Formats: sequence, C-alpha cells, structure tokens
Amino acid sequence: MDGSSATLVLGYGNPARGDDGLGPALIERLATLALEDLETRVDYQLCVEDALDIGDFDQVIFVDASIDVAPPYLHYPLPATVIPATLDTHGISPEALIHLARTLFGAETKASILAIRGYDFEPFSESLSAEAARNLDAAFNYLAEKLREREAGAEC
Amino acid sequence: MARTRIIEIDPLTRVEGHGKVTIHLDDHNNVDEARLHIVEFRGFERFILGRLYWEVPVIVQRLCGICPVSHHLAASKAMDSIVGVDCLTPTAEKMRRLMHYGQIMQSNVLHFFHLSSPDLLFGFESEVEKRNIFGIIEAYPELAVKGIKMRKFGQEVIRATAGKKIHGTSAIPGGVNKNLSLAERDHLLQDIEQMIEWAQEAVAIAEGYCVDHLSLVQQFATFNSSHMSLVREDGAMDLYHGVLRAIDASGNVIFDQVDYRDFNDYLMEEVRSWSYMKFPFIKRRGNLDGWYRVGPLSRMNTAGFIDTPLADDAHQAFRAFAGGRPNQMSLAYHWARMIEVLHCVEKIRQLLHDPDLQGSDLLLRGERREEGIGVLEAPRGTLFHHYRVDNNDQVTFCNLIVATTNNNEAMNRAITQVAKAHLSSQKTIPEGMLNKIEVAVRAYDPCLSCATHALGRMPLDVALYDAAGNLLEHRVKDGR
Repeated sequence: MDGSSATLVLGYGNPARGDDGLGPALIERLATLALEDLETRVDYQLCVEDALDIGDFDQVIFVDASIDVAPPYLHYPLPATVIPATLDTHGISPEALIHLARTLFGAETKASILAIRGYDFEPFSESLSAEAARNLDAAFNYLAEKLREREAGAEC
Repeated sequence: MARTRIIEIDPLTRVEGHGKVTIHLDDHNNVDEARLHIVEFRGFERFILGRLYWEVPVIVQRLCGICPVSHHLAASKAMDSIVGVDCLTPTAEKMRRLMHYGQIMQSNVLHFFHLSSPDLLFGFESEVEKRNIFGIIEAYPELAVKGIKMRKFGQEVIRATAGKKIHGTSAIPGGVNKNLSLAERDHLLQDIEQMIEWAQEAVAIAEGYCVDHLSLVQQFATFNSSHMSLVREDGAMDLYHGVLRAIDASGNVIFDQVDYRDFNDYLMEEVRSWSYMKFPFIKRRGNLDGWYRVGPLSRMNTAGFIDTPLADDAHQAFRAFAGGRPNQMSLAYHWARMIEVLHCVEKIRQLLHDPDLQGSDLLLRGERREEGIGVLEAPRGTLFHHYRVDNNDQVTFCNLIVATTNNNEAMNRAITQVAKAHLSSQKTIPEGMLNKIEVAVRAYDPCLSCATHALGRMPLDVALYDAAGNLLEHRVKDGR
C-alpha cells in the first residue's frame, strides 16, 4: 500500500474486560469493508513503537472505549500541536503517541479519536454490554461511511 | 505512646498497574515504616478454572498487556507436562526461546529508555515538568529514537515467532505450530548488528551511571537479601529453562539444581492483611528471613556466567563492581537489565543463524498427566504457572506466582530504606523527595496488573498521614 493517502485505524483495549473491547471489536467489523487505502491494527494498548510508521499514513484514527463521551460515540480531532501527559506506563496515550511521531519522526499525519461510549468494564467479561453493542453499531456505520467517502475522493 | 503520621503516594507513576505507597511517620517526623499497597484484586486464576487446557496458553495472555509472551510461554511449558512432553523438538524449543528473547529485550528496553532514563539522566529531584520521556526527547533525541527502534525490533521478533504481536498462538502444548520462514529470518537479520551495537551502548550508559554515581548507587535502596532465579544446570544464566537456584546475601547457596516442578517444596506464600499481593518466601528459612529478590539483579547474582561473549564480559564487570559478592543495590537493576538486553540480542543473532528454526518437526505428544508446572524467567523475574487438569481436559486448579509478587517484600524494604534515609525529620515533603520513593519502586519495574492478576492497565496511586491517622498529603494520577 502506498501509505501517502492511506488511513490507519488503530483500535485498542482489552476484550476480556467487557466494554473495554470496543476498539478491537470495531477493528474486527472494519475488516469486512475491504477498502484499499485502509490499514487496521488492534492492540491491548498503544505502544511507543507505533510512533515509528504513523508518518506513512495520511491520517490515523484511534478507536477506544470511553466513559466520558455521550452515547453513542464522539469523533474529534487531535490538534496539530499536542501537549501530552507524561508517559507513565508501558502503554501510551494517543496524544503522546502523536507527539512522539511528530517530534522524533517528522510525521505530518492528521490524527483523531473515535471514542465509543462504554458502560461495563468489569474483568472476565468477554462480551460487550447491550448498550455498548448498540453504540458500536452506530460508530461502525459512521466510520464505514466516512472511509467509503474518503476512498471515493471526499475528505474523511 | 508515640503516634504516627502516614504519607501516601497515590498513584505511583511510570510503573505498571495500580498501587499505593503509604509512609508512616512517628511524632518526631521520622519514618517508621513504608508499605507498597496493592489496591485491587481480581483473581485471574478463577477465570482459568473450567477452561480447556489447550486454550490456556492463549487466554493467559489477557493477564497483562505488558508481558503476554511470558505468560504464553510459561503456560505452554506447564501444558507440555500435561501432554506428557518433557523435552521439545529442537525447532520448537528454539522458536520459543527466540520469542522469549524478543520479549525480554523489548520490555527491558522500554523500561530503561522511556520510564527510568528521566530519573537517571535528569536526577531524582529535577524539575517534574522535564523528568519524563518528553524531556528525554528534547534533551537526548537520539537516545529516545534508539529506544523506540530497539523496542520495535523486539516486537518484530515476537511477531515472527508468535504469529502476531498480541495474542500469539504459536506455542501449543507439546511444541509450536510454526517455524521461522527464511523471509522472516532475513527480515530480522537486516537489523541485528545495529541492535548489538545499540545494546552495547545501553550497557555502557547504565554502567556509566552506576560508576559515576557510586556513592548514590551504593546507598540508595541498598539492602541485603537472598536472590533466586532459574539457571542452566552448569550455572549459566538461562532465561527460558533450567533449575532453581537461591543464594543468601553472602552468596552462599540456599538451594541449587532444584527441579522447578518441585517449587512448592521450597517456596511458600504469606498473606498480609494490608495487601492483595502475597509475600512468597523460602520455606526452610521461614516467613521472616526467607524473602528474596528476583529479576535482572538477582539473575546477575545467581548466574555463574553468561553464555554469550559480550554479555559475559559485561556480567564480569557487573560482578566486579560489587567486589564479587552479590550486588544488593536496587539501582543496579538498570545495569543488569541492559546486560540482559545485550544477552538477548546476542542470543537472537545466534538463533537466526541456526537452521533448526526452519525445521518441520514441531510437535510431540506423550502420556497424558493431570498436573503441569511451567517456570521461566520473565523480564521482571521468575514466573510460575501451576495447573491441574481433569479427564475432561478442563483446568481444575490454577496458581500463578508472578515476578512482581516474588519481589513484594523487597520493594517494601526498598521504599522503607529510602523513606528513612530521605524523608525523616522533614517538615514538608516536596515532590522530588516523594519521587525518590517512586524511583525505588521503579527499579523493580513492577507490573502490578500481573501481580494482582488483574486485567489490563490501571492507574497507579503516595499518602501522608499524621500521628492520629489524618491524611496530610495524597497524590492521585491516572495511568492513562
């Protein structure tokens, strides 16, 4: 894939912790789209090495579960200059990841977060709550349409 | 009667998981005791009960987003026993070893370059705004880039051997389900010499820090303890397989050549009311004197030598630094961690040139057993997986002792020693001083998610209480 016009959708979360699996679940659904300029990845958490090749993509969309947004989801851009919180754990926030990519590797990639409202994050629950599943449907339909529009030439 | 004040550090930063430190002061503001509390418990072992044994090596990776490969391999080793296999085919063992070296390399690198280097390069009490990875990027961008690229290399090794970066599936009871293709081998060979060079540089940085800050390193969180790890039967460091060896603070052998399947004859776990994390100890020494340390520092102390030349040279320098006796300095964990990175990269290079990795003899089967125990050296120390499986192939018993749990007493000793040295008689406790407590914990790179058997990542919580138990200071940060 020529990454210059491509989209990276990076879904993260722990599917064994209930609605924390919303990010990975959306990535699974995106696989059905078969879009040419789309690359998807899934992980438990974002990692520093993800910063290495973000610059290969025109845009990156981080997909995560959230308890802070109104249902069903909120898609919002990360500003061009991001002031991240410090890196406290082996994982990393989208803001910190983009900061690394831009500062160390010269990435000019546009970045946004698709936050899907989750409710139940209890451990050992390998399925989504009913409300989260509905929010996933809505988020998928929204993102699929955006990505199809983009492939057809419109801006995502 | 003397009254105590208590300081809380809540959360701890740049460690994995959710924990809290409380520092107990007496009426004269002297530190009486410091405790590392684990504030969540989720009982992962119960989650495993009823699962089919062949599912377990994949499911246990949900224990932790940080070291899933270690759990994948430890569980696989246990399930090897369940299917009656004591010795894997050369291809299977070498594929697993390659995966394991990739895991230890990437985990140790991330901890050193991105979580600990701000303390080491800027100082424990430097400006908090700068004392983080983004300060490192500004001041030492080349170092930050090398750290990320080394981490990426380790992840590529995992991807090539485990089938994918997360939720690897290649280690299965009795062997593996894939070998290393020539294309995968050649891809990894492209960068291996660069990794060797950078690993040597990392050892030099860590060694240089210890030599240049001799007085600090010799005193900060330094205390006598026993040490335990797996070693190869001839005494070489072995991160994947071997026999258990424990030495006391003077270097005398407590036990050696112990088959890890007999670990329950040698180790016990104590429960204390104020922590969800258990306190393991060496049975014959009792719960007061039997505690020990594990992990990179301990592996340097227990191993007679390292079987790769560059890491062995570094190991000899490390041993000489402590005068040939066991090194008891918590800050030396960082140096030890980088020696292990060098060892892992050397091992990866050896294995990439080994044609056994392209072999097709991947799986063995033997006589089915009811009980399986798998032990290996994870990045943070010795990791035990113990299972029983019934005739329906379902798990009926599961007990995990993770590296951070093995280091529980040691971390409590470390923060107590640092608190007594730096916080006693202080009327106010500035952030930099509290950070010293975190530096002591961070040296052990604890994974509290694993230690509590919780899932995923949690925020880590320090708190100060006065003699009457009133909270004086409390810091809470979200780990995200």
